[in-house]
Amino acid sequence: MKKINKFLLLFIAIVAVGCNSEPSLQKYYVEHQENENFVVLDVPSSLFLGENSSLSKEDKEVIQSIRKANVLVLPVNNKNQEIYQEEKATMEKILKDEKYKVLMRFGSSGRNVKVMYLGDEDAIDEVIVYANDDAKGFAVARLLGDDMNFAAIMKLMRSAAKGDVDVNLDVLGDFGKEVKSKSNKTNDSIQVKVEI
Amino acid sequence: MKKLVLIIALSVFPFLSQAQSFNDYADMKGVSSMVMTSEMFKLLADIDFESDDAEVKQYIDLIENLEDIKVLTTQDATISKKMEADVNTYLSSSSMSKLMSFKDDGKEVNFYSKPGSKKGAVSQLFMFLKGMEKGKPITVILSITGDIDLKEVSKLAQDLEVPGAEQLEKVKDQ
Repeated sequence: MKKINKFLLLFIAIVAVGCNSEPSLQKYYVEHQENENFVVLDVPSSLFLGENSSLSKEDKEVIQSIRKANVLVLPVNNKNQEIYQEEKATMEKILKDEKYKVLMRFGSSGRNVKVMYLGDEDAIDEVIVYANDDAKGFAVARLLGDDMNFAAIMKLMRSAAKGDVDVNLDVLGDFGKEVKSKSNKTNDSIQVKVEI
Repeated sequence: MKKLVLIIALSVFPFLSQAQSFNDYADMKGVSSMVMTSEMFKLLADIDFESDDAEVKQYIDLIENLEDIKVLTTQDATISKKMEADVNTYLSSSSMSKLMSFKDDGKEVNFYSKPGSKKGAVSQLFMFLKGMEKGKPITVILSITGDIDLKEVSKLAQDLEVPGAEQLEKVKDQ
């Protein structure tokens, strides 16, 4: 019986340690935004709005529920292969946490996209898109907000696509350039397309 | 000591049973995969389509009751053989029965299903496809779980842009 108790204690200890050392995505961002291998972009939602007074009150509320978008990219080049593999493993471990609810996942050899969210289905706190391609690097894009409503955002995106809402996307241009210069490649940066 | 064995057996069991559903293939080189989870369907069903159309409502009902959709595709001959063997063990160990099988443009297609809550509904729809597409060998595993109305499921085919979707459309003819 003593033996069993010891085993049990050990088992509980392992589980407890496993839970405690949980690294968070936010922590990862903070720790790596100064790292020269990474490119980080942080955009408050007010920037996307631009000079747009013609928005309806509802649409404004939807945009205000989004606080900011941020993107972290590790472009891969000849020199940082090892770092890439290491950081990719860390990132994938973070995202395996059950609190990130996986919406969908697709991929083929050496290429993967994973879409997740954090929060409740009608009050989303964070939408996360993770994409990796062993030839190009990996990217994590996050949409942060308070109680975002997926249905309302989809509706807004649809009207943005129709041209009813003027969304300011110029800020993304510079970001693309920076990613390119760090990856030493002429390839396009990783493109993530989610069609609904 | 017996107790300990039991505890270990119970704690390991969920991991073993999970391995059954072809999860290993998703990260394998040479395999394309797509997974959609129930979280996704819950969100999709929430979108207000602003429609009173009965057909749209039926479609939302179908989506709302889905658990997950998994698709695995490979063009690699070795992986294909392994998939086929795994599919056979999977089918013989689970309570699935053959729904239909047909040949379609050089592809052999087999559908299997697990009985559902009521008549005309299934709790799992499983497809195994093997054959040639555009001159290349292709093997596809498609699995849909949830509370699935067989009459409605063919409608999914139009919105799923995956190999095997075309064959899914034929389910309604049954």
